[in-house]
Amino acid sequence: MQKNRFQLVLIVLLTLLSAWFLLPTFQDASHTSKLKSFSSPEDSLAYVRENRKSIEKAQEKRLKLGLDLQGGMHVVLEVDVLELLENRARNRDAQFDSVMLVVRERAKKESTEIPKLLAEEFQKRQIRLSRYYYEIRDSDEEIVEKLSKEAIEAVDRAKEIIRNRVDQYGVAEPTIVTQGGRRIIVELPGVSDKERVRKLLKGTAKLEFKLVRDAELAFKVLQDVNEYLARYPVMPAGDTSVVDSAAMLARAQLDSIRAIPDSLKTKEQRRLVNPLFAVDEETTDKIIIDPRAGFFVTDAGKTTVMQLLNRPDVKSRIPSDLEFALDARPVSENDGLKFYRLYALKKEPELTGSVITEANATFSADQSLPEVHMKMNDEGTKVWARTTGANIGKQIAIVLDGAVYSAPVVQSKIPNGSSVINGIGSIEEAKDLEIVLKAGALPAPVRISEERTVGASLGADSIRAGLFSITFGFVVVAIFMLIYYRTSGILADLALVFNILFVIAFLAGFSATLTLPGIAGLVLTIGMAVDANVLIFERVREESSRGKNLKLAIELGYDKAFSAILDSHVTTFGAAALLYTFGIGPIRGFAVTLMIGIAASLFTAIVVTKVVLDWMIERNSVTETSFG
Amino acid sequence: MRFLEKANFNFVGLRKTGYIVSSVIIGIGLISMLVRGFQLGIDFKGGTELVVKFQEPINIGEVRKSLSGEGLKGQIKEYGSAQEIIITTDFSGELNDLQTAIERLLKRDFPNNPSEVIKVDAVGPSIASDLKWSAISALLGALVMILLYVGIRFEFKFATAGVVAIFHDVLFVAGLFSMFGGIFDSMTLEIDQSIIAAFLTIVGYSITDTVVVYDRIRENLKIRKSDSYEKVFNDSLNETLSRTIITSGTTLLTVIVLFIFGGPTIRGFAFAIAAGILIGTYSSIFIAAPIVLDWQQKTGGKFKLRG
Repeated sequence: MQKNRFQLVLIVLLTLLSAWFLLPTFQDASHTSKLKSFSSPEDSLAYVRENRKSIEKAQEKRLKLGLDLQGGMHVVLEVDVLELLENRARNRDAQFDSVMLVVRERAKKESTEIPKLLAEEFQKRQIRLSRYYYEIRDSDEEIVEKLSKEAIEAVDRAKEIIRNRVDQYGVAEPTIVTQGGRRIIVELPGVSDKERVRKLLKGTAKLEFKLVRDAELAFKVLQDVNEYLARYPVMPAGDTSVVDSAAMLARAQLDSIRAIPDSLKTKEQRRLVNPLFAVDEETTDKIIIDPRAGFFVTDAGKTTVMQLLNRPDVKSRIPSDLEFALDARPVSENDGLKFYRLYALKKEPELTGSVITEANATFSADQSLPEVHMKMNDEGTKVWARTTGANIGKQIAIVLDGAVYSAPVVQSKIPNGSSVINGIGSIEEAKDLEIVLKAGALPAPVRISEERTVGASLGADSIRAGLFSITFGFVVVAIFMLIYYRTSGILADLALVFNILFVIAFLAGFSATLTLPGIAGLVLTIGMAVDANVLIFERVREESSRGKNLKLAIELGYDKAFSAILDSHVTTFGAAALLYTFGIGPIRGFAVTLMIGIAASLFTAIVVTKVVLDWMIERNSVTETSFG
Repeated sequence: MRFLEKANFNFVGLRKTGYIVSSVIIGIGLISMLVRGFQLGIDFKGGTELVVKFQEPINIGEVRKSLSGEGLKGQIKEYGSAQEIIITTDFSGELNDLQTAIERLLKRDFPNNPSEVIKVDAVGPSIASDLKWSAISALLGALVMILLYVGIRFEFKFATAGVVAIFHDVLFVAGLFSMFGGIFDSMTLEIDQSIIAAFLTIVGYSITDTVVVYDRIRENLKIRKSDSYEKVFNDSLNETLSRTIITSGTTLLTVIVLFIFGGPTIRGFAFAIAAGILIGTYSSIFIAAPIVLDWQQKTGGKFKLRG
């Protein structure tokens, strides 16, 4: 024992450290099982109150499970920095818009920062950025720097707003971080209502109060667009004055059809000259005109109609102070088809959500339908009173993120700065609206560019599969070592137990998370950890079969096997380290477990087994059969 | 218990056969990589995957009919068990619309077999290209790192042959993934992040067996100066045969456990590592050591040994 004093102290210290690392995990488990055993909520509440400190501390320090094991959502949001920059530009012209289109395409595939992409494309066309941004004498570099700063600030602000929303929604231990110049990574353990969370994260929460234009004007505009679309079913490329002969022919045909009176046209002909309007009952993917009620679009036609109306060449035919928007929720349902009203709105909002100081989800007094009550600040109140006073009898639409929630007719002047959003589907939705309105609007729209969601039941299945694999893997390897190496096999198994203990403990201690690939890494480590012992024991057998006495054979075995063990450990460790650097999410969990496992096995397989062997030699309990 | 204790196989004599077999298989694999390419998972290709779990086993054909009837594009496959299906489709970013549509159709067509979306993976194009680049850099980085390390630890010819063996192993397994990608329904062999992790593990582990063999060759070269190189190499391979097989064997055992019990997400990963371990064991005997020997015999002279 004398000569191994240092090693022995080290083993004891590491074991104590592991126990210390794992203690919170056990405490957390015991708290959880205690809480489960209570039958009444009062008892559990009392228990939580009594042990709050200990519970919180345990939760913070316990071994954390990855989202793939406990269930939850991992969402990468991409802030549309481009849109922000687009809106920042002054003197926007056709050239600017065409460059922006190119940048948008590139931004989809590349992860370079947007301001840099922008500068590159403008430089390619020899246009100075100062034409659109900041002072005319600023150099491109200065502008890129300023724009980058703005973009980063916008992403940071977006992150804070999203954090606010998540906090209000109520998720335990969320992680929200920014990545690169335009991404926000949100990790939400344990959430199950995916759809609701997506909406909550993604909604820009841009609230606008907009005047509804009268139907006659809207009809005129739509009619014009309809005629134009019949002529140009696809966007004409470049100069429209030069037309090829095939298109000329088609247009002549169209004109001849148009000349036929409506009542005499065949169904196909009517459809051909009305690409925007539904001219018969069967057409469901176009604008349906109800002479009394207005314009409607079904869920089947939503995307196509809006795409047509947003086509750049079509947009230029629509008056610049007018825009079209759809209902947030269908107004009616018929034969499984949902109908949305199409509104023509004045583009410039009368008021925006920035004046909102308070939002409150509640039920309406008369019909007990969910709605959200809002209060405005002083300035908003003034503008609101003026707007409502000037538009009595007209409709004002309440638009959130481009969708119309309601468009009430103004009955009287509203002097106290209050307003109401109704037309909300459920009280949950009203609550979510309250959350996003309170947290404020995002500086730029965000898109979900990656989502990984695992249901809690799948997570539980994975934990079960993982635990089973670890147990089974351990048993198989342990039994093999025992049969093959007998006494020394027991030592290797003991080392293996230490190894698994160290890996799990250090995962908890470094507050790394255990993921499903991490469990795979642990199972793999079980197989690799005994490799070192196999190399040593084989060497001992060999030396002893060459006639060396057992004690010497053991010394030589440990000594000579070492270089091969070190080499193989270093290479595998290096590969795992690279994986950690470049991998993301759960894969990193694999890399971490593998790294800890490999480092630990160097210690357990060599030091732990040697100490026990030396002790056995001292007691003369090592025999020829000890190595099988 | 002992196993292959007094092994005396003529490995060195068989090395030409080994070269030919390996060249042919890797050649076929390379051709397949060029012609067929890989089945890329959504990590690298972008796209959306939803896993739906039914309460009762379900007929996959009926699910396909139900979902594709309403214009849902994409692949529908069984996932792990007859109760679970995986739907793979393009990435559009509008997950809510997609999920609602799927849930509505399944509820309508299978009213007596309730289902639930238990897993969603959606990867947009910009993320996919980022992931692709990190995967490539990680693999290249690992190869360079190992080349450096082995170059420092071993004599030049050993190091080079060791790295050749690593390439051999990785190309071999990659060839398997290319050739059989998408053929089996129960194991798609798609290249995703976890497969890159498996490749990196193979890169790291491939050298393990090689090092064991090299270590012994170096040792024997120092002691047995009078024997021919061929004999020294062959004896070293035989002396280390049992430990080569046992070390691979224990790891292989655990990987098989993972393959069987780890669930569908782990299966492709476990398969890659299992194949990598097997081929790594073979390559240290038939590729890594013999190349050193042939190289030495071509250039003549004596080994200069380090360490």
